[in-house]
Amino acid sequence: MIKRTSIIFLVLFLCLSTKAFPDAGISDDYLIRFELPFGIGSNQTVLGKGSYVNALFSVESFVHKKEDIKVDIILPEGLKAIAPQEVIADSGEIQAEFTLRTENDIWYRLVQLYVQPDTLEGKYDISYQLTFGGKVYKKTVSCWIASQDYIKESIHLLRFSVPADKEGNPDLKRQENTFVIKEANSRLLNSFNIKKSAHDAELIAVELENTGKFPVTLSLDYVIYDKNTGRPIEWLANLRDEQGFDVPGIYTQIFLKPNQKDVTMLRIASQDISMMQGDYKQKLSIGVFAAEGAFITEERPLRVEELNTTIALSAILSVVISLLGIVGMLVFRSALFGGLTSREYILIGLYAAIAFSLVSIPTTIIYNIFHALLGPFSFLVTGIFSEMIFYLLLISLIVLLPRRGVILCFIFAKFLLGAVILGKITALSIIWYPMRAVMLEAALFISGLYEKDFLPLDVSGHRKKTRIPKSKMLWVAFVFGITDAFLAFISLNITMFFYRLFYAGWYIWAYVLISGFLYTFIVVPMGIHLGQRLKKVAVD
Amino acid sequence: MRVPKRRIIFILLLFIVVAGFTFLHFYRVSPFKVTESDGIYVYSFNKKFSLSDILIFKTEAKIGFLELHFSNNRVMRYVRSEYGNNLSSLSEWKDVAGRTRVSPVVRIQSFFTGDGTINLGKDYCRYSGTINRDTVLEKVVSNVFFDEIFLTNFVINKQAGQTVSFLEKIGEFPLRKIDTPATIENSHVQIWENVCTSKDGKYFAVSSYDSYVYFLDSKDGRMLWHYHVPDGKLTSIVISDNGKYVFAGEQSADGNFYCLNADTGKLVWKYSTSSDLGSISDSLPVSGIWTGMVKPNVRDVIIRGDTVYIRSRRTRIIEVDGERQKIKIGRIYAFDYKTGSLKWAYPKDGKMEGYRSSTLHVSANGKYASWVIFDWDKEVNPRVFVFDAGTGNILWQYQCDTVAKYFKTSTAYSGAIFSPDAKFVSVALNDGRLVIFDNNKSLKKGRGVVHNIISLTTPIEAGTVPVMTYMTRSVFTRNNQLVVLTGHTYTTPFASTKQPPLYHPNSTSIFCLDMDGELLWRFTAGSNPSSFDLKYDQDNEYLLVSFAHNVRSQDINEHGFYVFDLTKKGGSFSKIKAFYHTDGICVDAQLTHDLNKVFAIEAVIDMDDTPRVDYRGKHRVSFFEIKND
Repeated sequence: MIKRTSIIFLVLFLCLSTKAFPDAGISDDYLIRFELPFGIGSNQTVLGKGSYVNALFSVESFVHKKEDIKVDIILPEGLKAIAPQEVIADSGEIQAEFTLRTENDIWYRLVQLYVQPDTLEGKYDISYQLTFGGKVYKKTVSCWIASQDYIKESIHLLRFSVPADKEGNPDLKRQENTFVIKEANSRLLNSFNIKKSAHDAELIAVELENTGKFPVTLSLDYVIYDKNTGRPIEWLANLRDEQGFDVPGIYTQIFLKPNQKDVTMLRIASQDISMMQGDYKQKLSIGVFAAEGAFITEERPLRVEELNTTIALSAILSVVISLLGIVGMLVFRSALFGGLTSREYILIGLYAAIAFSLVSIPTTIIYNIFHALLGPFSFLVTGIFSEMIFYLLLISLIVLLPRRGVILCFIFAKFLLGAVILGKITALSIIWYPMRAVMLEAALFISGLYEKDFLPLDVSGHRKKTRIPKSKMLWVAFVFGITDAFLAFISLNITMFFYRLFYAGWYIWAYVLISGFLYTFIVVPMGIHLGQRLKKVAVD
Repeated sequence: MRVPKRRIIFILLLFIVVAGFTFLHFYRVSPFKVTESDGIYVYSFNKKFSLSDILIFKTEAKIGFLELHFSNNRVMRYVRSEYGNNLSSLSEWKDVAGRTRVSPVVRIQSFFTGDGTINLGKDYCRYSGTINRDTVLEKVVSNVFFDEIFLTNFVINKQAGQTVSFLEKIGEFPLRKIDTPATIENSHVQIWENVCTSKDGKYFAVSSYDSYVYFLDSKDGRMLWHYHVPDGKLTSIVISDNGKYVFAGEQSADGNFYCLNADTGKLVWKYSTSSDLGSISDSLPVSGIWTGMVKPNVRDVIIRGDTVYIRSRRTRIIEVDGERQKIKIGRIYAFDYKTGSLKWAYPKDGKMEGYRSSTLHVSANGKYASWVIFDWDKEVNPRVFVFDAGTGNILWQYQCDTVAKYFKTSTAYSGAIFSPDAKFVSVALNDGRLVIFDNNKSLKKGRGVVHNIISLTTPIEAGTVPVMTYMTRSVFTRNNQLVVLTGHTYTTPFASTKQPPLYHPNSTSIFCLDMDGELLWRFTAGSNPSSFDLKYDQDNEYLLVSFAHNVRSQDINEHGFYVFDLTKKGGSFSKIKAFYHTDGICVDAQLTHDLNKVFAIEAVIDMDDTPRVDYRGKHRVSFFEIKND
């Protein structure tokens, strides 16, 4: 019944005829404005049959002089005025008398207009005039009428992206319908006194299209509800200023010309004191500005996540391992490096130089290109260099020099090359390199690659010089794969911690499994094979 | 005959050089349209202009005024002193909301004798702030018809007319970079910095966001000394009348109030308000830009005689039944300013807990102090206290009410101000009413006696949304007229949305009223007033109002400050003495006591409300000389 009634309803679609300031009439000394409807830069509205519209009617003085002023507004048939205080309104005519005293003195009233139910679609004129000191100034505003159903059919919600990137596109790196509170209210982070930025916010993009023949101003309302209680949550944008008032909430207006598409962004500031992580509901409502009710609504679940402690713990863990590694290296330096000859040092240095030229330089050069081309999937390509070639070289080096301390030397040399030539010396790299070296040394120890009995004995009791059994090869690959997966996970977490970045869950898993485990698992047997062949060449 | 290639190339190059110079010599941009109405000539240019642009004009007639209208709404007006200062109808423009404005105008007194040259770029920078890349000279307006008028870049030998601005920038002192600048989407000014001048005008001091007090020579901006506060942010600064001490308050875990020696910059004494108000250890932490709210914040430093008055306030966050609650805490103090010994404090023992509190005021004669407390969480309307400034005893108090239709409770953050003769006390309530008390009668009766209640910023109902503005600050002139500044447009606390659907017509304005509530003059600016200063001597009385960003219109063109000469007859347009535009937000500006100089702090603002940044302005203190007619 309601639907049927709404179909019968006619609405007014009032479009003022000029663009910049369509409803202003100016004399030498007085400015008269008739904003229909009221609004900041708005000049459209839609009304239902039997509903009301508010217009702001004002006169401003530009002369320092006491002047008695009279204004009249003559409404077209179909519109009726409801009398505000101090204004004489007789259905189709509004009159008011008042005194202005000085420059910028403004007389203003909100005038309520009623739309007659039987108003037909078409163009209408509203005229108004200003009378003072025997002078009369007249102005006219044109408007149109359209049905509400027509407007509803004209407006289409093309996209509602949560979260969006700063260009208004869906943020593919992030999980859909998830916010991360970057200004985490974590006591752990607060206790570290980490400096906070006032810019952190989540973005939502809404793309709308107007396929109709009239321009329209729409209001977009975005509300987050408590999943259990159904009460609106205001904390996401609920700052209070010095005066105790809320700053603008999650609400905006969008103006669409006929046959126009546009993306509008809603910015969700996360700065209030009472934010908590959890599951919520989000609802987007779109209606015609200054008209009651929304004609498009979309409701979805929303997950709000805080910067979790895994990140901070990963950072702490990596710092501890790095420190242990550095201290251990200094304490056990003779045990680690004592057995290495000058020739072996040269070999390690040579390998580090090759790794630097085949891993560090290409990765630095191609990272941005592939990041731009492949977005979150760029690691599939960059991983070939940073993981596969790196482990190919590292494992072959270990096969050539199966000793403790080789990995430490290799990684230290590579770090120095990167620091000196590419300037890659950051707090992150100082933590990352020792930790990686320690973890890989541990992996080497677990894999048993440098154990005396690693190579099987032949019938005569001598060690085989060429082949390593597939089972042992797979074991080494598995150990290094797991270690690198762990390192990849820690790497992402400490990057998130230090650079305040956020990755979606699927991205972390994909990165850890593919770039971390799979690439390493594939390349380790190849590295062993390469090492053995090189050894053979060296022996021969 | 074969001409060598070398010679052809040489001739070609010579031709290009000669042609180039010829073009440059004759390069000029003339107006594409000239119109006349009621004896006013409009020369339309629409040319993007640069620092090197020069306007050249020739006429036999006597030039009364010549206005240059720029696309960013700046108007530079060269005017003969005898031509008068009536600006109406000559410099109207529309702001981004389509509202007509008659400001800002830079007035430059000129002595053109007929022919003239205006060094456009130079004058623009000198009198009207910095040039934006896309600024266009839209038109030139004058009372005379020019036989010849054009813009050029290359004529440098023309005799320029002598010009004198009413406001001339004489120097600047750069301040350090702000890590997190103010953002356009946040209505709060966000950068709490202050500048003050010594009574003799020789020195000025800045309490900067970088936790330094700078003490500078006002002649050339040379830094004489600086003082670093180890923890927290400076929030207030004042130089004592005898110029011997500099007082500064900070927001920090200790909430210190410092007294520094003005000659050496060494600490004379300090007082930690955290011992009275508590500090971070008794509160849950806060994130975002409000991190500091739990720390004591020393503000409102006022010196009267040998006493210095301050207010300290903070917020304590507690968790009750899983919900966080803000407990507001405050206290006012009076110290002997030489020794730092406490004369009195209110509350005498402990602190005012559970109430928000207003700015502290002390009357010019040093007899009375005032403070207002309120709290909307507890539904406590503003309670006005007037104290004996010598003893801290309460002389009278008054319990305000509110306009219940729109507000649960009202607030009065700007406090209760005294008229210069302490005859009147005025309180601005956020529900739109000014309550004016008769102080003499109130003192006699021991309770507040209302002289008048003026409704100035009453909320209006835009459909179902009540829209309001509020009175940010107010001050009495020497003639007991009340100047009231209004801020942004908001929706009332009960409203269904936080986005106002229209501007409140009384927002971002300066009102001047008499004690009967009659409007004497009004000025509507396009921006949000961030601070003000009113000073007077025997002959002159100036009102200085600085403007920060307008969160609604986001129009950067009205960042800066206005100087109004209150002794001028007529309305606000006649009283505007000078305007200076700053690219960033003007967070504070002060006049010297001799009314000859202005010191203004400009801070950077991020105009992009997305994670991208669009920084405008520079972080600096600029100083200006005011020239009289």
